[in-house]
Amino acid sequence: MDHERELLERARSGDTGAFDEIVTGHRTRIYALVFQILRNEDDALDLTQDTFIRAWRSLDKFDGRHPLATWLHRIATNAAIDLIRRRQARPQCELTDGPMAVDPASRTTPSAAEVPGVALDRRDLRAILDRALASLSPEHRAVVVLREVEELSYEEIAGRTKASMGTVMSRLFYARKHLQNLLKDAHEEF
Amino acid sequence: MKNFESTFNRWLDGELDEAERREFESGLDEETLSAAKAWPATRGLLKESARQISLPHPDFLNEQIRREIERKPAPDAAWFPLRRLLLAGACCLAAAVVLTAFFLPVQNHAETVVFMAETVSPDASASTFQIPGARGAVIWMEGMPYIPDEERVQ
Repeated sequence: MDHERELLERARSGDTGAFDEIVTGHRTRIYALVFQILRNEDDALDLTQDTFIRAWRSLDKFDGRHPLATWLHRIATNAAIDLIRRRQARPQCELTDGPMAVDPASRTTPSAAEVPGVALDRRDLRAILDRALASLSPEHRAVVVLREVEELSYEEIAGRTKASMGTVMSRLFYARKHLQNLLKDAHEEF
Repeated sequence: MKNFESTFNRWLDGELDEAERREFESGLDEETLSAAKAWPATRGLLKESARQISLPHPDFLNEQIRREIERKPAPDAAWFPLRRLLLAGACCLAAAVVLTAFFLPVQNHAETVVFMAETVSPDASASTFQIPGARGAVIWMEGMPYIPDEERVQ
């Protein structure tokens, strides 16, 4: 942590080499976060790059009250949410925020195993989960990733996504129900 | 429904107290209860899945970022002159306000037209002050032994 503080100080004084080390230390987690929300490699790469460039330009605004990782994650999440909102303004077929038509009591059970009768291993489960995540709208995915992976509170999610608490709760509910339904058989087979 | 969604989330996150939890669970079906039992595993998978994501061409990313930030001014060079510029602007504005406040009245005095008037007595003098645009003038008289009653201002 002290090394990171030293890197920060050097970066603040314009040392791009020090900032490069900071990028190396955080790039994978930032990319993973953005990728989980957007599920698109090119967008995730662009936003990861954008996140670090924004951070570089705002280094003097980082007050050090929270860990650097938290600050970077906030920038990345905001960038991802902004991208989703911009695309919502220009609707594209794959980025719809319409109701997902998930009946909380539905029994939607896609084929869990690639080969019927063969027990699932963890990698299969992750693949199913990835597909389930990909089938959510970006807004629902963002909420579930921020809650389950980033472990943000409901209020923090509302702040990051610029949505009301009611909207956050609703999106989280439907996203969780959707994942539960899609993963139900997979868990049983596992 | 909104309340149900909120309570469901808090229940799944283990944020309900014992009484709330028991009451909420009494209204749920078996399927929902068993799905909730599997949720910690799903949560674990989500985290695991995030850890498995690898960044393609990481060094290329660093290179792109380095190129971009070297193309633009460094934070010091970019922000501090801007601050200095803002500070200088604020100082100029403050100076302009001070100058206006102090020198504008003097400027008005300078526009005051003063007439000297000849008097009968060599000991007496009279001056008339008039500000252009004003509706009156001030006549200032000194050295008069007395003011005749008909001239005295009541």
